[in-house]
Amino acid sequence: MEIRVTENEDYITLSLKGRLDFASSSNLKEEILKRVAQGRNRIIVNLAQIDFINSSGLGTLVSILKEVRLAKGRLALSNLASYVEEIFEITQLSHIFEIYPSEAEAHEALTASRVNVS
Amino acid sequence: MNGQIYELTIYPENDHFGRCYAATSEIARRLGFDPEEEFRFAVCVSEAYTNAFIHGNKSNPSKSINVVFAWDEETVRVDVEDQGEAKPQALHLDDSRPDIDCEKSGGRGVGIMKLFADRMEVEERQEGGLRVSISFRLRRKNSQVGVLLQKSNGGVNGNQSN
Repeated sequence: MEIRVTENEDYITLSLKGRLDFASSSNLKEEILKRVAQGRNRIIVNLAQIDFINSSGLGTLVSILKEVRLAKGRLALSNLASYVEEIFEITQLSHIFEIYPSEAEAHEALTASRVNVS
Repeated sequence: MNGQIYELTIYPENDHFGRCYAATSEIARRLGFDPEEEFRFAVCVSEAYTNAFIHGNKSNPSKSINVVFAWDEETVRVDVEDQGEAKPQALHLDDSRPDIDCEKSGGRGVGIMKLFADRMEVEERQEGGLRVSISFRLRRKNSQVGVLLQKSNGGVNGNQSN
């Protein structure tokens, strides 16, 4: 799986490409937690080019979400293909993740709430 | 099943998850699956393969996993066979659901397989290890079930027979 990181002033975006499974999950977790440790705790994961995710990938995203929450941050997912969205629905994970149709909408949500909080 | 069989023996080296995925995608394309069907099929095979590697073979690099695709005009069945010592009960087949406690990071695989596949069975093999069998009804007519499959890349031993 390829991970492309875009750093913005108040959030970072990780754009994933390929398969998010047992083999690739640890890389993603490492990439995100490294930045959370640096204080970057508003994160968008763009799944537009993810063509496969299984329970290992889902479990890793849950684990990352918990770490981001501990750092008082937010994690948003964007651009899910319909069949990827389905697996979030059937596992009920759509209830705990912030999922947006586009990266722009995810950004808007994270930024808007940041204004409200401060 | 009176149809065709394609069998892979995969050792856990290099991108072995990728080799399993590549073979699964190839079979799905031959069977004429649309993207959604291919995704569900690939997820199920991947869940069975991951369980075989982690829970069956305990990630032992010397133990291989057999993945057997068998199909006819109506059904495709995939058998995933490990060389471990786990019992079928270890998979909690009866009470597994995909929508477990959302905050848990594991335990969804069997539930997802049960939901996506038309049939799922687990049995102990006589020679040791578990065999997880998942079946899907073929709903489409545009498959190319007679086309000879190309072997995957190195590290995979594939055999096809009628």
